[in-house]
Amino acid sequence: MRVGNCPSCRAPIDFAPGAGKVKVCEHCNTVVLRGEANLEKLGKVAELVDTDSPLKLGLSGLYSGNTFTIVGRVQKENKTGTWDEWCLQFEDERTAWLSESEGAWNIMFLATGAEVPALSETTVPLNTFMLRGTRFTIEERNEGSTVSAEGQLPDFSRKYTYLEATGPRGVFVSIEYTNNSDGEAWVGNSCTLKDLGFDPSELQPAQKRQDLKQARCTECNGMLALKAPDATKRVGCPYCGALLNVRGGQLEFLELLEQGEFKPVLALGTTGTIDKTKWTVIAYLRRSCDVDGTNYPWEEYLLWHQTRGFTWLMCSNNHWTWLQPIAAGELEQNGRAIRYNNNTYRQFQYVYTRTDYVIGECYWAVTKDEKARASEYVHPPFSVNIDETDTEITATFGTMMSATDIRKAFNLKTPLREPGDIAPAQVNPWEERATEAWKWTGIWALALLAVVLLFWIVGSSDLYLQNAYTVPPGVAAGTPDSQIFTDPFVIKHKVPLEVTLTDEGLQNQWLGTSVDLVNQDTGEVISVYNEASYYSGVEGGESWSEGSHSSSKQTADIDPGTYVARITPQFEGQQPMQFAVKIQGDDRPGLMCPLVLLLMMLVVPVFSQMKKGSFETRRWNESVFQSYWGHANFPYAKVESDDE
Amino acid sequence: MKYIGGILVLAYAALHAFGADRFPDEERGDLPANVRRGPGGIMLWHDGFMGGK
Repeated sequence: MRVGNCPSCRAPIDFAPGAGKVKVCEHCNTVVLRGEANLEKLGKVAELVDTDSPLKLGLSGLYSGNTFTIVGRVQKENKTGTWDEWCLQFEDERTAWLSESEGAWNIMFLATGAEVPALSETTVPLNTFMLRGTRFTIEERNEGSTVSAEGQLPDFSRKYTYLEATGPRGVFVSIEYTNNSDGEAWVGNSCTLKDLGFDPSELQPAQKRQDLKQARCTECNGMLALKAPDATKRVGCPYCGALLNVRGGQLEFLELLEQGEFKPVLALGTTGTIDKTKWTVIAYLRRSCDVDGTNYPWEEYLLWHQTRGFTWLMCSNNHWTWLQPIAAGELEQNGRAIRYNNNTYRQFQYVYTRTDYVIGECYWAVTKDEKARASEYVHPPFSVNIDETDTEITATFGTMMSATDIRKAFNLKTPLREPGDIAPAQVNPWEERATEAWKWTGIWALALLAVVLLFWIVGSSDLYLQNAYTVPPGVAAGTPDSQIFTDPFVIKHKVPLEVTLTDEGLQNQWLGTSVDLVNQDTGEVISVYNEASYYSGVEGGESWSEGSHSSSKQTADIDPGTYVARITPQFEGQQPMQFAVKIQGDDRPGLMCPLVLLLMMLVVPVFSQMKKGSFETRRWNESVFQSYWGHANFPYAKVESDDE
Repeated sequence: MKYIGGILVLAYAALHAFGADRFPDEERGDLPANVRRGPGGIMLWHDGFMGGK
């Protein structure tokens, strides 16, 4: 049935072509359901609240090449406020919803045939679910109600539970669960009124909101001059401390906040350039958390830009972090870590926060002592911060900025205080140094190896003497009788020598040999003493041994000439001794010098590595999760362990 | 480290070139003037230092 009379006031009702099954009687506000044979009454709705929206019924637009008309509007509310949702009827008979959030517009289409998760499976924010093969993360789960409506609507429900969830690449989904339904998913993304092809001349001027640019405090009459009246929900008066609610383009006094002795470094209205964008400071908040009975405060500045929306500057212990909102759907939680933009962020903090003080304009319904849970995940100099309440979360991406950067960005005359401690997402100054030191150590170690190899290849090795000798029994060590004179041998060029003593039969004793090389031409004597000792046995059922059957010593460069070696053995007793002596000229590089140089090369990287580790230890000592990567403990009673 | 490593490599090359990259363990001296020569002109010397032992 498309034409009939209102079951309540009998006024004519005419359903336009399309999917709309519900229409609100414009005479008596009765919600009328179109049946096959008759019109059914679904009760009445309240009068519409003036939200000062630029949209109205009947407006036409163009989205993705398809023409649509605004055919209906519902006004919904939850604990924090009222908002409009506009029903768009496309010429191709599709229906879409258009809503406003924080000054931005969202358009959503019905995800026909999508398997919607059961309400019981989506209990808290940050839960995830799959919809049409895409993973979504819940950002808000809340109770809502429809308080007013006008025009033609696809359906109507007074009370419902809704989920707002985001996925990758800016897509989001809104699901409404009513008592008798399994939930209906609407999928969409953000857009501007310009994207929707509205004729600007037909848009309502939203005069009341614009008037807020010249608003005065309802309590002290101080000039507030709101910068973002389209999105502002609460205003903290900087003069008297009054907290004001923004409703329908008007200010309502809520409560008087205690004025602390807080002096924002960045005054409200100050502008500064970050990321090539000129931001205006529109609010200042003092927040804090208590850990082990100690209060840790920090400051937050809300920044606003006409097209980029809202960002934050957080100042904690004189460390500055610029925070940009991100969709929770872009995050992938993995235990105590989060993956975002191909980087892993490690959880640093999990604290209960409280808003102590606020001045300026806020896009959410801020309250005094507003409580939340805040998690911080770090990947210096970046961080991912998640603030969560029982019903919703907000995720932000933080970039650390130096005090100098802030001073420059906001053109401040006086220098800002430099931080004295380590921030969670502060870049480890030794990180780069250690990496650089290891890199160059590796490069130079390879170069050293190449030089050693080169010297080895071009070096030479000549054997001058290799003989076995026997000391007959009864000859005392060190006596002329025990001395052995070798045949003369010629050393042709200046070369260092290696003298080696070997006695494979050495067992539980020692043998020393003094090899005195006598230059037959000059009378110079070069004396090298080697001593080999080898001991072994069985003790407590276990065999042991120590020492070696051979010993080797080197000389400096020896002059060319004819040499005779006098070998004088040293040993205990008068038993026969058999041993071998080898004299070799060898100017190839030894290993000792390169090894010493290599150790010297390691000093800088090892020192840098230790400093880097020390920095990280000091950083993570301030964390709730103090133990090493992959293992967490909970030193603070306030932290709820999810390991249980 | 960018320069220190290079200096160390150059230092090693110089040490090797001058034969100073070893750790010699020797004693040097001269034979006494009264050492006699044996058969074939070989200096037979039974006294003097004994290699540091």
